[in-house]
Amino acid sequence: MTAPAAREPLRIFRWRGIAPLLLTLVLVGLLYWLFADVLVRRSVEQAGTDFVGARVDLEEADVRLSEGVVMLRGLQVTNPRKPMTNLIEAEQIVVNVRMAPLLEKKVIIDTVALRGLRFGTPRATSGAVEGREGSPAAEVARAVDDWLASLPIPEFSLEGLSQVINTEAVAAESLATLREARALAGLADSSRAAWMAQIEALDPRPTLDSATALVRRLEGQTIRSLGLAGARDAATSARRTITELTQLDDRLAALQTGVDSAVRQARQGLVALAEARHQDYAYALGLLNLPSLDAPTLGPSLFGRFAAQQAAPFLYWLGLAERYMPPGIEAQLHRGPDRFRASGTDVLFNKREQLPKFLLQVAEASLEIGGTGAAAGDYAAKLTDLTSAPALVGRPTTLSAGRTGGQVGPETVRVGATLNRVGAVARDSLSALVAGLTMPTVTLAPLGIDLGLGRGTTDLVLRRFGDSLDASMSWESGDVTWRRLSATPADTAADTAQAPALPSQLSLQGVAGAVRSSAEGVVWRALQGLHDVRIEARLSGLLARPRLAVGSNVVRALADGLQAELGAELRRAEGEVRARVDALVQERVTTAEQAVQGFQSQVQERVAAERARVEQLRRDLEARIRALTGGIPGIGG
Amino acid sequence: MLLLKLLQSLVKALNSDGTPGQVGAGIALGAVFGLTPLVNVHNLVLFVLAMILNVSFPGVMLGWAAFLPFGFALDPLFDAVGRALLTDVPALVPFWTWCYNTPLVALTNFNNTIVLGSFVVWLVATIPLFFLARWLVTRYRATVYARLQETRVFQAVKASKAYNLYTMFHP
Repeated sequence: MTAPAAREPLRIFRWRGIAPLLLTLVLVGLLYWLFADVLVRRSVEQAGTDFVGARVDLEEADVRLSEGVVMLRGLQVTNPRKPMTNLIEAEQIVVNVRMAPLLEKKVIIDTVALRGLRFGTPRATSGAVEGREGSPAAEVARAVDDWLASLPIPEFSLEGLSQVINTEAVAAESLATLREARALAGLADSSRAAWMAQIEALDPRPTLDSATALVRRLEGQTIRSLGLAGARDAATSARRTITELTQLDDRLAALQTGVDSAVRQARQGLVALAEARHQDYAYALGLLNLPSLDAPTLGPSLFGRFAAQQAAPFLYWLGLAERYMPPGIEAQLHRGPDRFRASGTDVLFNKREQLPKFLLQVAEASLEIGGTGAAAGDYAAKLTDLTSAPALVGRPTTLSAGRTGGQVGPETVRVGATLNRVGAVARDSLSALVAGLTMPTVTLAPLGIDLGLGRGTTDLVLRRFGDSLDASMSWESGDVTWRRLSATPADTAADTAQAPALPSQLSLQGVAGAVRSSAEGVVWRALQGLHDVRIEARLSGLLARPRLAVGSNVVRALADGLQAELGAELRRAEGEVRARVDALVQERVTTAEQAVQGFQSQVQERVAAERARVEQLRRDLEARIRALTGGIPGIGG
Repeated sequence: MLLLKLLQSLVKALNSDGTPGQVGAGIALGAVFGLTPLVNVHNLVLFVLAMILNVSFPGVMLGWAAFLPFGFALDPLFDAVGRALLTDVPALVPFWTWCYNTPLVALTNFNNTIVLGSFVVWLVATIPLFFLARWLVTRYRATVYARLQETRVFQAVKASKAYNLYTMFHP
């Protein structure tokens, strides 16, 4: 027999693996040292692109870990709403970063100094990003675009005046009033049948008949005629019947409450019918494309799109702040990093007295825009406490910027903003005033006119509290220019001449053509003499979908001019349209009204009558009891 | 070349490198690189362990390669597991908060649903995976290997001149 071979002892560590391990770690360190700049450059580009929702390009990054300094050169941030334009461009950015928080994956920046800032510079290539539909920036952009698309901006077109006013185009089946009237009549009829059935089911007749018979039987009876025992029995019977009548009345009262509610609902249906008819008027007028000459309608028609476009960037940046700077300290959910694998979701577990994931304590920029351009001058800006978790920092983010000097360029540039998300409810405010800067040209497409606002003053005041937004914007200029988009010298000459008088008796079609040709001249004459223009817009309501109201002295001048010369004809045309709608819906509306009236009279009055009869019988019985007992106690219990 | 090396490592792992237990441990350890997103601190730590522990390094590579497709395929599951652990268990919130706010630990990215979910799934599966892999390697060596080594493909792979880095890590 041979002895079993000794079992080799279990070796846990592979010591000869240490050398290659160290070699690998050195290699990793070396690679990081070689490529740290590239990594930081790409990280800045990726994080910036994710945040802005458009390309962020960086020429070079220089990481000096020992000094805690990162130098960035050639930063270009694309304007997400204008991909061929940079929102901001910076020649050099010096960032002082705290090193220790990096071990917690937290970026705490003490100071940032920016040099060579420029705004609105053109890009060589488009900065639009594709394939980021799920990113916060893309979602915010989509929400703003949806808001823009859904704004109820009424159409205004002089083209409508050239059309034949054909009221036959208004089709009955398209009218909401008819649909609602049919539904209301059906509801009233079915409600009447249902409530009548309930009254029948309640069956008050036996109780009432029995009480009536008792009243008759006791009529003229006294304690003498019935005797003591007979009077006691009669009084007891009468009191029992009164109790039954009271119970019946309670049931009828409950029924009456239900009936009254149903009647109210039916009558509200009648009010809704009237509203539907107004909607149908608007719908029918819209079919005929007749322009409204009311100033409140004209304002949004002419300047609504312009004002909304100007407001959209503010809503976009507020939306982004909402995503990246949420109020409160609850765990936040963010999309995970892009990688070959699924991104997943990053959950940020913020804790008081801990550092936020990102904090920029102070960023300062000063720039000098040379030359004699519209924006020439010296500017300074300061941003403080920009962070991903304001509740941890305990201070609001502030931004102040302004013009500090210069001989040419705008007279005043003053911007101040506070994003206060320290508490559970966001409170943001922004005010901006730019005076003496050339403002954009507004194309009034419905009128075929360009309005050059020239040098003027732009003012913005915005306040946000929780989900509510209240913002007012104004553009004011005393140096506007008007230009007809398709003007010819002949047009201009004709415009300056006296407008032809409107014929008083024309066929509707003839009136329309004459009205239109006259309208263009009226518009031009009303506006070309206007040199001072003020446009005001107000956003209010929910931040996600604020309402927009727009007004302007241009609108008032235009409305006055058009009303003076074309108002009567348009009102007549509108009257015909309304008459056509009335003719189509009146019969059905009358039927619905009768159905509601029938429901109310038959059911409500029936219940009221039954209750009145119950009450009368009860009083009669009480009178009989008094006559029977003659005030003697103990009779009838 | 890469494919050849992979085949080599497969052959070595299954046929000659170390005991079935060492190969099984290597496969179980290597599975983490396939199941979890690669660039994370926990993988660096486990890579260091794979190098200094006396497990089959080709087994590690085999585990990595074998579980890589599962990593991609099971991402929705990992996401659900990670989300449940991070957001649906209040008792764990203090722990996650500590992880998130502690130097170096924060670099593990365990606050990401996929990273945490895949890591936890791997952690749970490691021991069963080790025993399963050890049993399979034993069965393989007893039954398949004898016939396989007669095939031309096997001979070609075994005779390849390509340098085998993994010899340094033979147990």
